[in-house]
Amino acid sequence: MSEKKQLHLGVFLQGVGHTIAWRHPAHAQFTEFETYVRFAQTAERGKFDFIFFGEGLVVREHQGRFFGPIVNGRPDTIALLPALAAVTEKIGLAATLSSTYNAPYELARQLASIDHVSDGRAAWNVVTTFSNSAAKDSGGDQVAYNFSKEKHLDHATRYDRAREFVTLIKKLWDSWDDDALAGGQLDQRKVYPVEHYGEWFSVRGPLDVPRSPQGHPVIIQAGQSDDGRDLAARIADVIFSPHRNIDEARAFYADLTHRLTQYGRSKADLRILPGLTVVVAPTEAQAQAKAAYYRTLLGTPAIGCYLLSEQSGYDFSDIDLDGPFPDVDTTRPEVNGALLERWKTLATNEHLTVQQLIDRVTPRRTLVGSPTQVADHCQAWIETEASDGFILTPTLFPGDLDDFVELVVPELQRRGVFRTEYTGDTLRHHLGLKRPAVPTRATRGARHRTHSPQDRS
Amino acid sequence: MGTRNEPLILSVAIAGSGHHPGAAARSPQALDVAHFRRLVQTAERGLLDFVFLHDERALPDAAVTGRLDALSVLARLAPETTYVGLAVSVPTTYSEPFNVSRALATLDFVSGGRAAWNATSSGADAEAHNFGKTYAPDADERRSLAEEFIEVSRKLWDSWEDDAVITDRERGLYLAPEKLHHINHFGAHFQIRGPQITYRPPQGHPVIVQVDGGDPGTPLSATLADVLILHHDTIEDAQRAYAEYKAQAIAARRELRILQSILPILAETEMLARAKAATWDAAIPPGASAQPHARRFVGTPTQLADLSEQWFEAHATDGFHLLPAVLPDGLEELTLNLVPELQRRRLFRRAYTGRTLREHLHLPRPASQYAVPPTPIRNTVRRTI
Repeated sequence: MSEKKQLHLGVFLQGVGHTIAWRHPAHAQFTEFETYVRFAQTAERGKFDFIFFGEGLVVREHQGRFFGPIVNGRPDTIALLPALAAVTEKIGLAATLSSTYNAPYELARQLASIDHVSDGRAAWNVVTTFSNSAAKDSGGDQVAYNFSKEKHLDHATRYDRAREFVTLIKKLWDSWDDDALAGGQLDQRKVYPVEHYGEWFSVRGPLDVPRSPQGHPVIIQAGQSDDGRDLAARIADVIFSPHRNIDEARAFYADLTHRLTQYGRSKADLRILPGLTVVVAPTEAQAQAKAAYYRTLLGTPAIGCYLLSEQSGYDFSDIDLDGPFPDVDTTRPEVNGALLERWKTLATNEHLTVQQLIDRVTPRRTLVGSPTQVADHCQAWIETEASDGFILTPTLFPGDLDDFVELVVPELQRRGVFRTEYTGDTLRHHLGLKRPAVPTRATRGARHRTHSPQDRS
Repeated sequence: MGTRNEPLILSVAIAGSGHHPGAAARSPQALDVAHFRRLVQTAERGLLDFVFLHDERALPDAAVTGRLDALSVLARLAPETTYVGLAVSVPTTYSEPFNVSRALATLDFVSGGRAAWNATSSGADAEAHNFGKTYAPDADERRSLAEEFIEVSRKLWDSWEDDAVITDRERGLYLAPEKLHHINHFGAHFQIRGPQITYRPPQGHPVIVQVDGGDPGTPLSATLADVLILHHDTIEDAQRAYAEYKAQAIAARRELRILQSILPILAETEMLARAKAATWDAAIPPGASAQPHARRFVGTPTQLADLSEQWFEAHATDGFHLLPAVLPDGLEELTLNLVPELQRRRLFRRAYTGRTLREHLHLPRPASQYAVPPTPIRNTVRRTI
């Protein structure tokens, strides 16, 4: 292997939201387990670092009805990942799970157990669960209503809870020495209560699950806000960031690198992986034709209106897609006035119809091109400290992932920037991250379990 | 074939290193996938209805080993098995129904309809300490919580009708909005709007298995459970309980299966079995947790088959929940010796005849409580015209 900086690749399956390419005749059925098996096995064939699932805790509604045009609903990742561990050998398995709607002890044992049953391939994407007050039909309070709560926590409070949650969950993962179960018999002197009594949580511990193969499952964080970046710098092993252009990405990379030093960490402890949607074909012309066809799938009035309404909070139903952008009232309290003003200006200045505006503002940024062009892009980003790799967000599933694995991966391998075989077994190994050591006896203090023989002596 | 139409039901408890405290103490448990794979695949080779993996939420003071999350273990083994049911304990005391019901729906999804749920309640203060509480709620409170938890989980499983996902490409509809339902549950313990965010499970509802482990905080009711695992030492007591629960089930228009827990200590002769039991009893470490809630049986496989046949034919039970004294050896012994004897007597299946756990247990697949029932009368009228 060359000295070149190596690319890391994940692939994200959102399952809900803007994945409307289900309308493509070749799109897989999300209601079949076989679809997820194929997803995992395809990514493993492409030697990806990990596969990655999103989370949604509410079925999207629009104007008081469940919204039919998008993929709503998905399996639970806590139960899905162990099953996918059975049909793969090396690839990492990442779940998005809320720190707002879970209990730390429960999540600690679930994630540690997934790490055990996958032999060290588990990852947790920490989210605090969005609150999009503008999307009044599917905002945070609707999530709260599924958890016997009347209100979603506000942004700052959620991050406050998340910080304590992650600190505590790491203590629980560290509550067993690595060799506490050596010989099949538990040595009670190597298990420690956590005695965490904080603002949000009181947990005595220890965990009932032994320390897992990776020590800590890999932690992913996707926050973009100041709070989010700060949390990532403190606790994350991987950051999933949405970046539109390379300059923005470089600035973000530099900012995170700086923030890491404030917490006694270095860039070696964090991988920065922006999301990337790729449409690739053997030639650029073929790729462009494919991308154009995908855009037509977005084109039903219901979906266009939904996307505009969801982002802005303004009700765009019954709008004429071929007409000019309407004269919307941007001062109403439930709408995102600044966003609506931007759209209005854009549509007026460039004489866009509503449909043309939708094409401009709603799709994810998509890289369209030949295998060489896509590989050039990937290489340029990792070589100029814009990223350490990418998390692919395919539009058409499974076609787009198949194409990337068949066309782009071999090109990246030829250039010596991506592995041709897995060189280790754990996700931490794939990502080049060290396995966290257990705290030393000194930092644990004398807090053995009260009944342990040592305490009695 | 015996006088009953359906075959006897057999399940097996696979947690820990065995259910006899003396025997288990001598066989340290491997906490890895290979260990559990051997158990689950042995049970499937023996054509058992389901394996049962118990779980709790704290490390006991006298623990000799750790645990893995039971749901993760059985989800991991689902793709490596085809028929055997996968029953998992998930406690209700400190959990969210929205999360638990979703994970169980997905266990059912990845296993093609083989999930079962033992809705337990957490009675130990050590568990309370891990969830921000000083003491566990009292038994009445825990039972009431578990009952509502099951009820709300059923609503969440029903909140997507079976045919909610339509992928109508022409009309641009991935799902049929009228086939999803807010559950609007407002109970004493939970207030949940719904719907769930995953599809209806393949079995409609995972099978609900409730176990009499001597804790009054555990609900045991014919209206909540699909399978009740009881523990009686005499056939008369078992018959009485069987008749009572079956009557409750009929009144509630539900199907119910009843199993009796049994801890077999088997050998080629009764004398050898007794000697084995004596050795294990002598090895019980001081302070070891009490004997499990199960009828202890010491004898030969033929004698155990005799007892099984007698209890089954006398309507004292629909089958047995086996607690092997040691694992994995005890389970292998049961599948090699007891199962063929029951097959010879035409009491037990010679091959799986269905794919889902409900099919093994001859339990109906429930319709969604929110689905509008079809209107056959109108069709009849139309046809006659």
